Amino acid sequence: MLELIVDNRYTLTAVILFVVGLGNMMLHPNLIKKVVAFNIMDAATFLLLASRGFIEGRTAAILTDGGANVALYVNPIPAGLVLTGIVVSVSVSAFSLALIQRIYGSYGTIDMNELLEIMKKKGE
Amino acid sequence: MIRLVVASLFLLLGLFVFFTEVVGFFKFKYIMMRIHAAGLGDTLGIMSIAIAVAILIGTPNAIIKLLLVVVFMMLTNPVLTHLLANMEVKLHQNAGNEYKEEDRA
Amino acid sequence: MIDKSFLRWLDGEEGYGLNTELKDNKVNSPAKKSKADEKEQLSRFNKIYGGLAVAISVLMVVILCVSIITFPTYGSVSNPANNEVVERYVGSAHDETGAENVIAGMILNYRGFDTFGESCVLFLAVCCVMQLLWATDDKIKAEGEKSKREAKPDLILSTCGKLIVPFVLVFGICILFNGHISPGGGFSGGSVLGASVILFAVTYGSKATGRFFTKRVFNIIRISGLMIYAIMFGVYIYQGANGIQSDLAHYIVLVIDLAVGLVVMSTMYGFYSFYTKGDL
Repeated sequence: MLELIVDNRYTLTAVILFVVGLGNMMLHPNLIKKVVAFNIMDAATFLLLASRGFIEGRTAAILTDGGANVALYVNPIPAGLVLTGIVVSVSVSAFSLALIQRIYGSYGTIDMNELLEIMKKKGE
Repeated sequence: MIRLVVASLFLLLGLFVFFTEVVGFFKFKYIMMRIHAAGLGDTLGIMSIAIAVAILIGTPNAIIKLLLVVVFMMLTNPVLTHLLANMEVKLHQNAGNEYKEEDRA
Repeated sequence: MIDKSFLRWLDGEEGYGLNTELKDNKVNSPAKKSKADEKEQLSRFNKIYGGLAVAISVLMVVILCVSIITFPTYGSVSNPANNEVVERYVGSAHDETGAENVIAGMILNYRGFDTFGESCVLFLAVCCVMQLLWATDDKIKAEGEKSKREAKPDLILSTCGKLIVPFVLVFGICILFNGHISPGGGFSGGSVLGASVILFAVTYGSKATGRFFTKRVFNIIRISGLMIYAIMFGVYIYQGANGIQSDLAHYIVLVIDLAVGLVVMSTMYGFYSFYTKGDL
């Protein structure tokens, strides 16, 4: 059991981070904190992906010998995927923060419960 | 051997500072106290950990890079703390007094 | 936007949601609900919602931890991910793309279309932020102008910024130009460059930035970055790709890195600018 935990420490950390983000996203009524939680979930995914590419006893994929010895370097593909993910995460958070700013501008609040009450009143 | 002992002492100091930072950040309620706790680790914590790493590695290249990191952190993080406190004072000018009254009651 | 049906579910209307308690309440009291009743319902809903959220989180932990057991060993060479594709990329990246940084060579050459999509995502994001935060209302704009004129840069911030800005700028350019032979590349170098421009704006005031980073320059940079990328990669693909019969192959990574860096830099500064002023 302990061995399993030590072997999968990065994956376990990713799981914990992911669930912290998910719980915060559902429980916090504040919209900005929801965006923060979303970013925590992103970080968890990146940690999982990056840790999958590691190979014991090898170094980062910056070639020092022109690629003659393939067995010296770790897997570069997850790093590329993480790069893609970071860009998309930045774009999505910027977009959602802009939306939140507009919501604050027209409703005067970014609390989920207060927003619901306002919309209910508007519906009636 | 002496090198290892000195380095681990600095490392322990840094870890202690970071521990106090996290505890203070979650324990305090008013934002100024939180800023005080959080500003601690950004300067002293990072500096002591950088010194420990510099002693452990010991090559001139690494020492110069770590020195640059420490200087950069020392220059930027107090400014950040100052700006946060400034913003708090500008936004809620009576927040501190209210907090004190609540605290006494 | 919250769905209409969700609101109806919150009111406890029939046919919406699964909460039988709320439904019964509605059926038993056909008269108009009082304010207190509504409050009570909302608090009850919040309680149930919180409990469900915690339950779902715990369930998620259990499911993910069970799936960890079936994962391949961490750091092992024989993992299914370490297959012949990796060998191909690492082994021939230097000869085919001219990049010592395999990741830069990979994402800008072998997977160039993917990175082009990424740049387009950044472009679209800054377009969306522009549309949402553009200060169209004259009143808002006048207020913004007023506050802009009044707000002086903080003394401590500007003193410190004057010290740091040149170093950050040079560091960003260094990362950008060395992306193919060392850790770095278009995205990281572009972000550092964007950060330096933002720091310049907060140090010397937005008027100083407006002297060289106008709306026109902003549009030209972000569009020409994408255009350079598209044209270079199109020519490269047309010439046969994968480094075959192509002289372009040995410096395409550097040029595309530069284009991506320009796009990222303008995007970063655009975000900052639209969030603070609603204008460039």
